[in-house]
Amino acid sequence: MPRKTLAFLAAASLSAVCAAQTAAPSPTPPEPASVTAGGKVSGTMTCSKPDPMHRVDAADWPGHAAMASRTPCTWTKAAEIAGMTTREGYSVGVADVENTVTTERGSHVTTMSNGERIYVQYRGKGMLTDKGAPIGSEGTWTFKGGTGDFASLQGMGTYRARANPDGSMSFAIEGNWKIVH
Amino acid sequence: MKTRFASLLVLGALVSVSLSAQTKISGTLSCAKPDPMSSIPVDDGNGTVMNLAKVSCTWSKTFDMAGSSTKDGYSVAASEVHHGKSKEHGIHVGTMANGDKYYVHFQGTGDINADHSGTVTGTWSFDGGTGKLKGLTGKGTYKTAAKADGTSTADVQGDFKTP
Repeated sequence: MPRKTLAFLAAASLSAVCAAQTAAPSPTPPEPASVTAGGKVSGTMTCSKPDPMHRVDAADWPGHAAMASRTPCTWTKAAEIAGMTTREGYSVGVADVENTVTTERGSHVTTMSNGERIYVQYRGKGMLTDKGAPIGSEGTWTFKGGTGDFASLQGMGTYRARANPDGSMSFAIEGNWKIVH
Repeated sequence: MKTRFASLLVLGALVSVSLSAQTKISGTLSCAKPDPMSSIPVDDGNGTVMNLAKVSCTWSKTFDMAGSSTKDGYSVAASEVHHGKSKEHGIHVGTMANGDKYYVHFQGTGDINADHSGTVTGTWSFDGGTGKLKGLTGKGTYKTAAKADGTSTADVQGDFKTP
C-alpha cells in the first residue's frame, strides 16, 4: 500500500479519536486561554563580528575557554510576527569552547518594524576551525515576551547558522509564535 | 535459580566494594574578587546580564585526596543574572599540596542582591586530574556565599574515587 495512503489513514484515525474526545461531555470544562494570534515564523538573520568579545582560557587543557560576547544582527530575510516584520537586533551570549566545539546560550533582542522589541532565549552547539574561526552552529530558541503588543509573545523554534566569507554568520530561523491574552 | 541467586550475591558484593572505595570530602574554598570580570547587559527590560569571570581561591578548610591536601585553585565561570536570579556554570582547576591538579565541572543557581552579595547552590563533578589524581571521579554539592565586595566562600561536600 502506498505510504501516503497509510499516512492518510493514520491521520484520519487520529482525527476520529480527537473528534470522539471533543464530543465527550465534561462536567467542568477548563477555561481556554484566549489566543489572539499565532503562526509560523521564518527568516534569515546575519550577525557581524562580536563586539565586545571577552575570553578567559580555562587552562585545564589546551583549547578550553569560556567566552561572553555581544553581537549585532540584521534581518536579511525578515520574519513576520503579528503583522510586523523583524528589523535588527543583537545577541548577548556565553559559550564554552573545547577545541573546535562550542556550547552556547544567551539572549537575543530584535526590534520590529513598529519599534517594539521581542525577547528570545537560545542555546545550541557550534563548530570552529582549528584557528578558532566559526564554521556554523545550530540550536533551539524560545520567545520570552517583548514590549507593547509583544508583551505576551510565546513560541519556540530552531536556528541553523553558517559562516560567511566576510566573517559574519547567517542564521536561518524557523519556528512558531503565538500571542495570548 | 541457585545460579541467579549466586550472581546477585556476587553483584551485591561488587557494588559494596565499589561504594566503599569512595571517600567523603568536605572543605571550604575562600575566593578573591573576580579578575577578570566581564559583564554584558542584555537590555531586555528585565535586568538580564551575562557575566564571565575568573576567580582565584584558596582552601581555608582543606581535605585530602590520594595522600595530599587541597591547596588552591581557580574557577572560570559564566553566569546569567535575570531578575536577581543567577544561573552559573563553569570549571574549577585545583592544585594539591604536592602539585597534582584536579579538574571540576560545576553548575548552580542562586539569588543575587542589588549590592552583588548573594548565595548560590549547585552540584559539581570531578573530571580527572594529574599525577596521583589521574582518573579522579566523584561528585557533590556546593553552597557559595558572595559578599558585596566580590569575595566569596564556598562550602563543598561530596565524595571521590581514584582508580
